[in-house]
Formats: sequence, C-alpha cells, structure tokens
Amino acid sequence: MLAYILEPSGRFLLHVWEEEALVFDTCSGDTHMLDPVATALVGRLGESGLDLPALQRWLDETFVLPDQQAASTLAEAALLNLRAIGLVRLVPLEDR
Amino acid sequence: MSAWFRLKIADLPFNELARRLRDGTLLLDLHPFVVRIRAPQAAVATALGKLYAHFPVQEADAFADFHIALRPGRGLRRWIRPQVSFEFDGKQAFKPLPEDQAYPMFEWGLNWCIAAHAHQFLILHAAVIERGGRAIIMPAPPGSGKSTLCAGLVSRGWRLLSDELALVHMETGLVHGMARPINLKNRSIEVIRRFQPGAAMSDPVNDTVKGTVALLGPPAESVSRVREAALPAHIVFPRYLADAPAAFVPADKTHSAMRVADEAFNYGIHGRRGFEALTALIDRCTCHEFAYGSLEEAIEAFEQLPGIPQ
Amino acid sequence: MSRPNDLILQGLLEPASLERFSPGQWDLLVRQGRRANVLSRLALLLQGRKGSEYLFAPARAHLEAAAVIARQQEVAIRWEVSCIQAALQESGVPLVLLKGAAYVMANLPVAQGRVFSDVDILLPRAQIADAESALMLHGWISSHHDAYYQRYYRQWMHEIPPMLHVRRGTVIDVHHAILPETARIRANSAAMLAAAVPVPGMPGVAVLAPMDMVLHSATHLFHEGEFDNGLRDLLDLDGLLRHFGLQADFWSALVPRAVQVGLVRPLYYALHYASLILGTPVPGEVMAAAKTQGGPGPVTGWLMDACMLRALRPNHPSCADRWTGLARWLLYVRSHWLRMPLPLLLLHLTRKALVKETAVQESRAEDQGAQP
Repeated sequence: MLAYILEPSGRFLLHVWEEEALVFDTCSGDTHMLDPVATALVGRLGESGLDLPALQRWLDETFVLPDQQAASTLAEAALLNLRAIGLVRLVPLEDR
Repeated sequence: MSAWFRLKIADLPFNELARRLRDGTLLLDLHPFVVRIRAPQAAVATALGKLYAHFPVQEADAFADFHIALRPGRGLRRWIRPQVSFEFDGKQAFKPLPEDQAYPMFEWGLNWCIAAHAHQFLILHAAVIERGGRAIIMPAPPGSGKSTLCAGLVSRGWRLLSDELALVHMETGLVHGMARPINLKNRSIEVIRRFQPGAAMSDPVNDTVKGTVALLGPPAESVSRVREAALPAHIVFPRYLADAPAAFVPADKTHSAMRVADEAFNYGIHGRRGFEALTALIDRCTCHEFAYGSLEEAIEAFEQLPGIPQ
Repeated sequence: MSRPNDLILQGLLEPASLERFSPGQWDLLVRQGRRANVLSRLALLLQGRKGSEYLFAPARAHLEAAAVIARQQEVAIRWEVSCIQAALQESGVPLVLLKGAAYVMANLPVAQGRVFSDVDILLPRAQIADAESALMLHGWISSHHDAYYQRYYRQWMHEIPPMLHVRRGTVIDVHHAILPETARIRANSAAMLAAAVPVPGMPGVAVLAPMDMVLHSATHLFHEGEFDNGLRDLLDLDGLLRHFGLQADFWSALVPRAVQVGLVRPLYYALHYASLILGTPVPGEVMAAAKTQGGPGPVTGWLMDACMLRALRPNHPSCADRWTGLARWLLYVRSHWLRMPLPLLLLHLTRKALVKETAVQESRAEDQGAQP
C-alpha cells in the first residue's frame, strides 16, 4: 500500500488565501498556484500521510461534489500536480 | 546659498542646463536615485527643462547611482541619418536609435538602469498613485491604458508616484516612486491633451518601437512630495475597453499575486524574500479588475474606492 | 602595489579605509566594482563587519542589491547542480564540478558573494557522448548551430559547445580536459580527474582536490584571453590559497603537483600576481620553487608584468592608462597562440573579426528587447 505525504523539509513556503494558495519552492525558485482542491489536500495531508481511498473519502465528505467519480478525478489531478511540484510524495505505507 | 534652498532644474538658465548636459555634469535628483547625465542634444535639454523643472539638481561632485550618456552616432551615418546611443557608465547598452528619439531613449534607458540594478526594491512594471496616504498600484502590460488612466487621475488631484516603475521596499513594504514624467503613446497623447489643456508635454516623437510617444510632465506637488513613500492599499489591473462602463470587479488574491509576479522585473532575483514581499503586498491590498471606456467615469469610480478621502 | 585609483580593490583589501571615503570616491568604487563583477564580494565582506551600517547609505544600497544577486545565484547554482546530477545519474557518468559551482558545492569561503553565470563540468573524454545525450534527454540543447563553431569546438577545444537548458535558460560548459587538445602546454587532465574528491551528500558529484582546484583556477585565468573578470578570478585564487594554505602539506606539495600535471607555469603566474596585487601570503620557498621550475624568462616576465598588471585591474576607464587597451589585446592574441597552431589561429581570428559585427548587432537587439 502506498501513501501520500507532504514533503517534510523546509523546502516549500505556503501562503494561503481563503481557498487557494501560492507555494514557493526555495530550491528551484519557482512559484506555483494551488487550486482549492490542492490547497485542501495539502491542509489535510500533513506528515502522517493518507492513502488514495482515504483521501477520496475525505474529499467526498468535505466538498459538495456531483458524484464519486468527480471526487476521484479531482483528487488524482490535484495529487499529480502536487507531486510534479514536489510538495507531495508517494511513499510505501509502513506498518504504523 | 542657504542650506534649505535646493537648486532645481527650473532655477538653471537654459544655457547652463545645456552646458551641464554637454559636459556630463548634470546630476538629476530622482529620489531615491541620483542620475548623472551627459547629453549634448538640444532636444534633451529642452525636454528636461520642461518636464523636470521641479526636480532638484545636485553638485557635480555628488554621488550618482547611474551614469548615463546619450552619445551622438559616429562615422558617416552621422551626416545621413543621425543616431543616438545610450551608454551606461561608458558602455553602450542598447542598439542606437534615430537622433530624434534621444529624449524618449533617455526615459527608457533610465528605466532599464533601475530595473536591472536596484534590487534593494521589488520592482514592478506598474503605475502608482496616492491619495490620503493610500497608494494604488496598477500593474499592467503595455496597451492596457494604464498610463492614460494614470495621467487622467493625476490631473485630478491624485499624487503621482510613478507611471512605469513601482519600487516596493523589501522590509517596510512601502512603495516609492520618482514622480517622473508619464509615458503617453499614440492616441492617448491626444486624449490627454484634450483632457488637460495646457499640460507640460514633450514634442511627440513618431515611429518609435512603441509608435508615437510623448511625455507628460508631473504635477509640481507630486515632485515636491517625492520623498514620501506610501503604503499600498489597492492593486488595480486596468484595461481600456471602448464604451465599457467604468467598473471594479474583485480579483482573487492568488491570481493577483501571480499577475503581480509576472509584472515584476526582479521577483525571481529576490528568491524567498521576494515571495515574502509579494505575499505581504497582496495581504495588505484589496485587488480589483478595472475596465473603463471613459476617463471621466474612471476618475469618478476611483474616488469611490474604500478608504479614499473625497 | 599602489593603485590610488583602484578604489574597489582598496575596499576589498582594507575595508576599514571605506569609513573615510567621500561620496565621489564611493561613486567610483560602485562603478568599478560593478564592472569587475566584485561588488557583491565587497557586500558580503562588509556584512560581517562592525560599523558597516554607518557607511555611506546610497552606496550601501548598491552593495545590498549586488548581494541579492549573489545570494540568488548561489541558490540557483545548487538547484542547477542537482538537476545536472539527476540528468547524469542514469547514464552513470561521474560529474566533476569546476570553478564557481565547485566553490559553492564544496562550501568554500571563496564562494561568498561570487557572481557567475554558467556551470562548468569536467568529464572523462570517453564519456562525453553519453553525457551529451543524457543532458539532451533532460532539456539541454547545443547552443551553437553554426557548423564552423561546432567543428571548432569538437576538433580543437577542450569542451563541447555550451549546452543551454530550454526551459530554465541556464548554460552548462562541458569540458573533457583542462586545456585544449592543441594547447602548447599539456596538462594531465586524467590525473586531476582521478584525484577528484566527492561532494558530501551528493552521490556521483565531485570537485577537484584542493591543489588541483588552485591549478585549474590558475590555468583558466592565465590561459583565457578575456580579462573582463580578471580581478574576480584573481580574488578566487587569493581566496583558495588563503583557505587551503591553512591545511598541513598544502604548500609543500603544491609545486610538485603542478610539475606532475604539467601546470607549473600558470601556477607561477597565479602566485606571482596574487601576492603582488592582492598581498596573498605565499611562502618564499614555494614562490622560488615555482619560479625555478616554471617561471618565464626575463623578457617574457617583463612583458607579462606589463600586460597582466593592467589587465587584472577592473575593466573600467578609471583603471586604465594609455597601454591598457594594447595589453588586453596582446593577452587575447597570446591566449589563442597558446591554444592553437598558427594557421588555425589566423583562420579563427579572421573569422571572429568578420562575424563580430553581426553578432554585436544581434546581441544589442536582444538587450533592447529586455528594456521596460
């Protein structure tokens, strides 16, 4: 089983405005924008990590979404984006 | 000469102004910078005398931040199609331009000097005006009607900080301007002439890379208050739209921050501190889209912005 | 050496004297420092000094602005190196960093406030093709499309044409030797590569060993023809010698190592000019050994002094006399003379002179595009 965790080091600076956020990567110097789903995910993930089904359930409960399919599509797209930025990593879920 | 008296461009007889420009001993005080200028072209002396009349000058042995020379072209060309080249501390910085563009070239070249060197500030490509201690920053790409709007507002009592460069202090977050002349292009020259008859304006120069350009002199009061930095209160993204009613639409902070970063000359150079300065600026400002079709309506709308005294 | 006009040098060597500078002197110092690309070095030197906050404020703003760029370049270079490492990792090519990037990654004091633009790397010649294709796979492209330059680099130079990253706009200079194949001096690049030391925490990344780092820096400065950054590069040597000079055995092993890898002449010049211009402490017997084993003859020595003592000043009109232009030109020709056989030299200089005009015009046009 794999889990998503937030990059723990001080590499990223996050500034949240209402539902959206800006992320600054202190290594590359790039600035990225996070949409509401990505911002919420970052807020929920923390360092403990969550697997994809758990994330989707949480997304479904938090946002008013038309169906289950929408929740998983949104979550996957946002996670892909967050992983491309480097803010979120996919790691093997240790027996915690 | 008593200590409180500061010699201004207007205090110099024209011949003395032209002599200093020829000798490279004119030090123009554009707080927070001092520029040393060498420019033998009569058109430059005329334009500086007219548009920078209220600016202080400094003595020839003072510190200058930027040494600028507008050098007449050499060789055969000088007789056929005379040119002018812009030198920064003795090094040519741009491709030469036709000689009649010497004065606009001074303005553009000076903008480059500041944007390329003054990294003690976060520098935005934006107009800045102020009223009642509340500054409005208007970042915008060329062609958005930013300068026209800025000129119109300034002619109706708003203080001019800058038409092109907003200098945001990295620690205090205060915005500095230089109250330099406003760069008008093409149709806006005629618009402002009609809007503000009798305003000090340089002779229009045709066929520049930006079309026809003319520079509008800043109000004397803006120049005399140039040392007062202002706290930004609003960020407005202006857009001229023929026949559109003047209206503000709230802009979300995240997108506004990205647009401000796009209009910054040195956001990337500041790294982490640039991000902190940018987010602090957006935090303290209300952000708006602003479309306008008539200058009169636009000015009325600006007076209705929250916190702006009537 | 007394150079009353070289205010930036005075500031770097005797920061205490800055307290007495007039606004006019500060004006000149900033211009010289900007042109020589060492303003940021002065800024970082002053940052730790008591009383610096009372120095002339308008000049301090320029120092601060220069420091902003230097700090950002350090961050950028670390990121760039990690990108290059990632690109080369799969291909298994070992990566040795040179010059600025090496100083930063090895956390040397000389990296403080150093301004540079490109990353220079050294690879075994046999692995250049692998490295080039790995870099291309990760977004770097060859910057010279001109067939002449491609051939010039590939056939005669010790590096391949600079590679430009399409997205970040950064440039890597990929070297496979310390000096060109055709150079009159043969350097044992393989021995230097073999002695490279790994960078802690960066698998696959190394820098040259201390002595070799000095020798490469010296070779680079005294064999290149462009002295726009001459003072900055001499300050590098000064910083390296002062830092490594504290290590036991550094000084005693330096000249023997230079003899071994064939770079004793540039080492002599480095020691000679660094101590002469910057007061770098060099033990007398080391200087004497370098001179005996690789110093120039009296005529060459006199001519080199006449040229170098001019070219190593800031490239600013206030630091020039009537011979400065000639000195820089002679050194430029010398660098090519050292690098290639005479017929090739003539061909190359002629071609450069012919294409210079168009190149200047193009780069000016680009500059203009950057104006606000």
